[in-house]
Amino acid sequence: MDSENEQQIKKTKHQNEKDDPINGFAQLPYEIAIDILSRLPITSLIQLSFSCRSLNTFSRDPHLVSTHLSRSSMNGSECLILHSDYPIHNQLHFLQLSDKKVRKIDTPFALSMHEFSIIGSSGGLLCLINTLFPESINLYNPFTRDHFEIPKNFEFKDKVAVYGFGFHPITKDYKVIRIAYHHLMATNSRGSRANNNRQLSEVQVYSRRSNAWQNKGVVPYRLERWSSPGVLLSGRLHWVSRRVKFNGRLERTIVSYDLADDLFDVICNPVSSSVSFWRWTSCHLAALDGCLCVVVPVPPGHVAFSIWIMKEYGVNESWVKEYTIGVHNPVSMISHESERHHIWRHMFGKKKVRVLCILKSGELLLEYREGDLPGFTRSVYKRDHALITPESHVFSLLPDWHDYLKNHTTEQIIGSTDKQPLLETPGEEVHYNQHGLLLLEGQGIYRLGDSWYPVQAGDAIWMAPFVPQW
Amino acid sequence: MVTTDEKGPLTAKKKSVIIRSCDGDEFLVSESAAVLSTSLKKILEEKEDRLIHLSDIDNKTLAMVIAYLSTHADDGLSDDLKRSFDQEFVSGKEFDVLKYLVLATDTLQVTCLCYTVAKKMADIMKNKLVEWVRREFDIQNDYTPEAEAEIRRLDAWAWDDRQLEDD
Repeated sequence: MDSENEQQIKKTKHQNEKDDPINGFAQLPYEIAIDILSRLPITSLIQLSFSCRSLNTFSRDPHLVSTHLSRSSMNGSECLILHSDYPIHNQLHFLQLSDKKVRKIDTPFALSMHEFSIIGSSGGLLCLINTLFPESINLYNPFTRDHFEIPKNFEFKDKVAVYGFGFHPITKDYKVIRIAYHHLMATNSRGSRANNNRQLSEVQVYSRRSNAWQNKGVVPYRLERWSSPGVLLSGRLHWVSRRVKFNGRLERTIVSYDLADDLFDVICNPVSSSVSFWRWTSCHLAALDGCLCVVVPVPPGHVAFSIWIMKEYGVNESWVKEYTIGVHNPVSMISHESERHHIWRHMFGKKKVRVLCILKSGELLLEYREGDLPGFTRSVYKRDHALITPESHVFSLLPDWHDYLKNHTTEQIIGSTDKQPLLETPGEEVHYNQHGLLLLEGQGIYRLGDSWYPVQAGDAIWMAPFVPQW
Repeated sequence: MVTTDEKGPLTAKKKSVIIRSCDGDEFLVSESAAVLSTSLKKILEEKEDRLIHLSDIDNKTLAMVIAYLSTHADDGLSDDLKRSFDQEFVSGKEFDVLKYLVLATDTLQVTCLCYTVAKKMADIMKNKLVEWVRREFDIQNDYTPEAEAEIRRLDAWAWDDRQLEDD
């Protein structure tokens, strides 16, 4: 009499059961298997996917991928993709902040894309651009090593471009935005202001879903190249415009692009009354804790900086100055061997420090840079990171990561053509002329020769000729 | 219609149902508890039958599920108490037990217990070696040694230098 009941409550089991009857995991119903796996950290998930072939296939199930993605962004399992150039050029590393381990990620696209930089990371994919042939853009999943070159459609002759990449959680589409300006205009605008408001632009948007580029007309703002790639927040990308006449004065503004409806919009900058704001190119945008923020250098000297946060997105009155961070010199920048062959570029357009994100612990993650090789666009997570708490201004390096990197990569050097830096220069930080400095604000550590000097506001330093200094 | 069984006559003030496990043992459950399981509810709605035979749930697992259902059907308990009961319920259970439990709750469609157990399983599986996963799930490694070595080489970043647990 129970046979019917049994029938009723028999449920369809996980689809792989037939393929692999020995697999105990396959006994789990599909929804539950997804639920369990989507709760695992990415490293555990990958481990699991190696247990047998059917699980490997299952780990790529689209439903699992999207559940895992939304879950890990919700519970804030923090990880960073690092793009490093030293000791080997163009290496990708994966840093899981929970265990502070750095892991090397394969770059299977390296053959077709020898030089690249990261346009963005969103929805589990990295968007990489070939820095030598910028018409070539790849989407890459660092965990499955799947990569995909998006169609080329662009002639770069005499043009410069500003980029952005993002995944929209509602439309579930990945888009790459490219805003190109004519090169002549670009050089012109540095000297003459006559053309500033009338820059011709060309907006092109690639959608992963349609796998095609679309022309979206023009944008009436001249976006700064240093604000590329755009900062992704609330389904929108954000860049900084060049200064335009606004209320009778020259102002920069924040331009946003909505990935869902493809519209540009403008956000007022937080401190339009301040003269210094935006004059310095070392200001930049960032997304902290789901809020848009701008990083502004603090006078005098403009080495220290403040972070303004837009507490409520789109509400101009909600800008708040949240942090002010003093002068720092991370230790590893000083001891790092790459000092020997880097080039100091003139300050214009070069950002020495950049705000990356805020950690669960409340610490800010900052990126320090030593200056790129000329001709290379900036990459997202590069080189060196220091943790800074707003209260103490004390920094600590991510433990072991340089050591780890060194140990890890030495084995890989054999047989690699990448070990030579592209440009070997004698440029060490040694001046033949002597000079001094007076620290006006903040604090830090200065290194002269082999000695370390903690300095704070009011201290003066005199550097004799030929003393190596950092 | 009220059925009695060898465990004694029903003195219940409330309606009850009898659930039989695959081992043949029978459990008396109040209807208010039974209907928390979507599958049981459906059966009770469609049939007068008061004896339900579950052919793929064993005694031990069924007893746990019923304990859970009874606690959650108890109107005298606050939500907080029920939540802490849930925590208690999954803690300390062996992975094997949880595996049966998750299957049973899925069959019986007790959604909230199902996800509580799934979460617990995920917690246990975190940072485990692939060998552990194979053992616990009875997974036969169908990679050839060469294929496995190749995978390990390609995805070295996921393997190396990690404090993985094998027990």
